[in-house]
Amino acid sequence: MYEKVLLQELKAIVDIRKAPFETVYIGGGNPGLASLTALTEILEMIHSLGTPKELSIEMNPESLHGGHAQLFEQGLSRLSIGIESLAVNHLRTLGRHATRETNLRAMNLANEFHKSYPIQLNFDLMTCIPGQTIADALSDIDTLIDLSAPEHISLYNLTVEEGTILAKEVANGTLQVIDEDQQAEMLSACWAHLAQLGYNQYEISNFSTTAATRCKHNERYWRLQDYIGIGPSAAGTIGNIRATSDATIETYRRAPSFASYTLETMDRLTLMNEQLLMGLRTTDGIDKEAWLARYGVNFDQLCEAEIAFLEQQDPVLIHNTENNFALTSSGFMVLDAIVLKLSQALV
Amino acid sequence: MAKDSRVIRNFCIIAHIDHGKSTLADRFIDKAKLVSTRGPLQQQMLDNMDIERERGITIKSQAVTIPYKAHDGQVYELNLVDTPGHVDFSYEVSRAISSCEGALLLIDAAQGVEAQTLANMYMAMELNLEIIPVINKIDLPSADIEACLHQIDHDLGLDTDLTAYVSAKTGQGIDELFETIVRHIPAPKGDTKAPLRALIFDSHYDAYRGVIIHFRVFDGVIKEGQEITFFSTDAEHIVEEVGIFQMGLVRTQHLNAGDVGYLIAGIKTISDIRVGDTITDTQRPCKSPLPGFKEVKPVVFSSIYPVDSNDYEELQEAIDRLKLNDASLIYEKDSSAALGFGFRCGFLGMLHLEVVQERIEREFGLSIVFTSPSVRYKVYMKDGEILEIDNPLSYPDPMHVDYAEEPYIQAEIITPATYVGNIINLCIEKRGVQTAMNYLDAKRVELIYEMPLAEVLFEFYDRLKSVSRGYASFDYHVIGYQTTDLVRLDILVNSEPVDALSQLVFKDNAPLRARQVCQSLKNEIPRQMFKIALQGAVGGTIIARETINAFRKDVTAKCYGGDISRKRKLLEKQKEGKKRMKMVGNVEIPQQAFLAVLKTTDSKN
Ligand SMILES: Nc1nc2c(ncn2[C@@H]2O[C@H](COP(=O)(O)OP(=O)(O)O)[C@@H](O)[C@H]2O)c(=O)[nH]1
Ligand SMILES: [Mg+2]
Repeated sequence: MYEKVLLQELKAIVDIRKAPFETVYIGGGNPGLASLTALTEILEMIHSLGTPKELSIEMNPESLHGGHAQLFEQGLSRLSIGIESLAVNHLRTLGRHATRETNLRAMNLANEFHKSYPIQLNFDLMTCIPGQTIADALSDIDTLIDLSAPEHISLYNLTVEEGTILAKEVANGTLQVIDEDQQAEMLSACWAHLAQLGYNQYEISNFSTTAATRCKHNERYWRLQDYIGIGPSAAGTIGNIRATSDATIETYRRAPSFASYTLETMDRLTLMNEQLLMGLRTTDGIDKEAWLARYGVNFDQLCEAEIAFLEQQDPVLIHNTENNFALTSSGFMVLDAIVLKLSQALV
Repeated sequence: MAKDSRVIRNFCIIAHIDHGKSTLADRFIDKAKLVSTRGPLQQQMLDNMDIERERGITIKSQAVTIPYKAHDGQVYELNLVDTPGHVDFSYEVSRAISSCEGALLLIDAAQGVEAQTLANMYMAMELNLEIIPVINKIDLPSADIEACLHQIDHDLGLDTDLTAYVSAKTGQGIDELFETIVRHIPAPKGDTKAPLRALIFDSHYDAYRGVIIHFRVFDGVIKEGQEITFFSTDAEHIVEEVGIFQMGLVRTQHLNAGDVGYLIAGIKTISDIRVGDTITDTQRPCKSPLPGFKEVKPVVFSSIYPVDSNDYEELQEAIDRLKLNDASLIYEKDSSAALGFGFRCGFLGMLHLEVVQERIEREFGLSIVFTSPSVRYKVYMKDGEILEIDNPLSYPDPMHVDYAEEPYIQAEIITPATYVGNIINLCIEKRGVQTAMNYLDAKRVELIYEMPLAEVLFEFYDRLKSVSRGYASFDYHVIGYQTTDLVRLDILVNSEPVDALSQLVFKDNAPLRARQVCQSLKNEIPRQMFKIALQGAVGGTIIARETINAFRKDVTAKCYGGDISRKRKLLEKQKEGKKRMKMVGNVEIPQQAFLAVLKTTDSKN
């Protein structure tokens, strides 16, 4: 592990910082593998500046254990577990180590913590896994809610990213992705089901029981607010500066001190592209007033032709009010194309 | 020093493709090499262009002078005039052949007589050449010399006693062939004292020296400093240099009646000269030109567009450069709503078109799109006007059209009898009318068809090869125009016509063509946010239809802090890619779609 380096890096930040962190997310990879001592130390350092509004940790189900209880004593306020699926064959397809049993065990344990501490729970689920049916996907949602009634669910549709093992299996024919029309159906079915069970979609893949239980940390990303990240290949953004760590896990571990960061100054156009990319993921969409204040142009005027084009489409893709430009459920389904379309107006 | 024309032999090699013309020429050159002091030779050195070597097809005529000491002790000067090996260039072939007194008719011992063997032989006979049958590839285990001899006697009506037996590959029989050439091909006749009369049979462009004319002197003498006139254009020039072809150009300062060689006369572009033209002396001109001259006219037309509209100027430069060495390539500016600016080009045939395409892509590194090749139609208007139209975009309102005519060819096909049925069906499908069917022997049949040239451009050659398992051979020549039922097929994308995809087609073929185009568009245009209707239409009538459904799902599942940069860069890349798409209404059409649609035409024939 690279705990030592990470702690050094965090300490350096804490040393120069005065205000408490607004939100903290301990994630990326599987922090469940970190030692309790290291995690305790991290929490202590964070709290030395004051109590954040949200302090999350994510973990793989097989890593969660009773000993983690002490972290909640120390003010950890949110636990997120990557369940992904409750079907063993789907887990295998995803290359997960967990089984249905490990997943159920983790959910029960999380439930215990939930009862004993004032924390919020999130579970990640995956849909559109090759071989998965709509019924499979809905049943995973039901089981999850029955067992642990989390405040928050992240529901992702499987994306085959270039360069992954999955992509290789698809390319060589060992794995057959679900066709696009079926994926759309499965995704809508899940969205509708979650809505019915009281989970509101506030971002393409994120659902919460109330506005208060949204993931505040992730909302910062979607709003293009400042954040800092530490650890191998972490990224942070302050204003128009993006810092991306060049370290891999290997080099980070060996690094005697901080990882090296690549700094990028983002111009207005770049930021506008990112704002579209992130903002349109949420039901709040683009805040037109904030857009005007930040970029000095009127959003409706800037994207007039593109908005007109989108307005002509059937079904209704956008929800354009005086203050906000957001996508409908149908719009979410084709988000990437809409972003690309609108971004063509940005020059 | 005037040399005796009795020691000169001018000859060419004619053959069906792959029967070994280039290989045999190599053996001759080996011979010439023995007396040459120049550097090492390339394989098949008469085929100078990469593409010629790769495709094994000679595109330009070449010539070489070979000194040969015969058994009689005399040193002869053998002028080998190599000829293009493809029907697209048959006029050039005829001019090269007419520069000779004799022809070696090469026959592959394993294949026997094929379509081009016959076509070339008739051409040589018309020009009164002495024909020496040469059976090649006798080293092959499958060589059937008896059958070839029978064909030479029976199908070709030639003297079998004269036949030479060679292996161009091993060199076997080559010396005997030299003797046969010396003994049986007549020395050139011609009057050195008469006014100059010389035939241009080819030319090439040299970046340093300009146009180099390949020619044969029939009468008189040509020498450096002389004032010459080209008969067809009346253009006058001063001869700067005269010489013969050996391993390169060898200056001789003058050439006499009977000689074959080159001349340089300060001519800047190849378009200033005409293959088949007669060169004469300006001060003492000959009375009449040599026979057989004609203006070569392109028969296939297509527009070339750069894939990236920014490359238009590079494309212009590339075509200009090709034109320097290819007088038969004609072009003018063209523009399309879908593809931007480009060039309308005329070609001698599909091979010529492909060679130009390959050279632009390979030698100039440009990505280009060719629109669907078209023949040139004659459109007779009701008001009596006659339009010659090869560009679908110029096709007039059918209301005002009385009728149209399209070019026809005579196709000569030789096939093993087993495939006659298949081939007849194919020819009928291609609107062919049979004019003759001859059994060459018990197993082989010659079929003569008249059919529209346009049909030969679309899948004919590949289909012929496939229905005959590769055994049928094919040759054709244009014979004139015949009435046709012509329509313009338009392709509409969400009701917007895409001009670059319009085609002029025979009415009955329109539905099938329309379906093919719509299907290949469907395969190439990605789903978009809305449904796309692809239609083929003639006039107002829709004759084919395909639909591309709107995409249902296009969404990245996860995007958090660590993903932003990567996703944004991807977005920027996609934005860039969009610039290379062609917009038709709201529909984005990738360049690939145009290529795929236009790829449905035939190749390689
Ligand atoms: N075995 C054998 N192959 C030959 C002979 N002459 C030519 N070939 C081969 O036949 C093919 C066609 O020859 P080429 O000279 O390119 O034919 P062209 O199209 O008439 O110019 C090549 O693969 C040659 O190597 C020969 O005498 N014997
Ligand atoms: Mg050849």
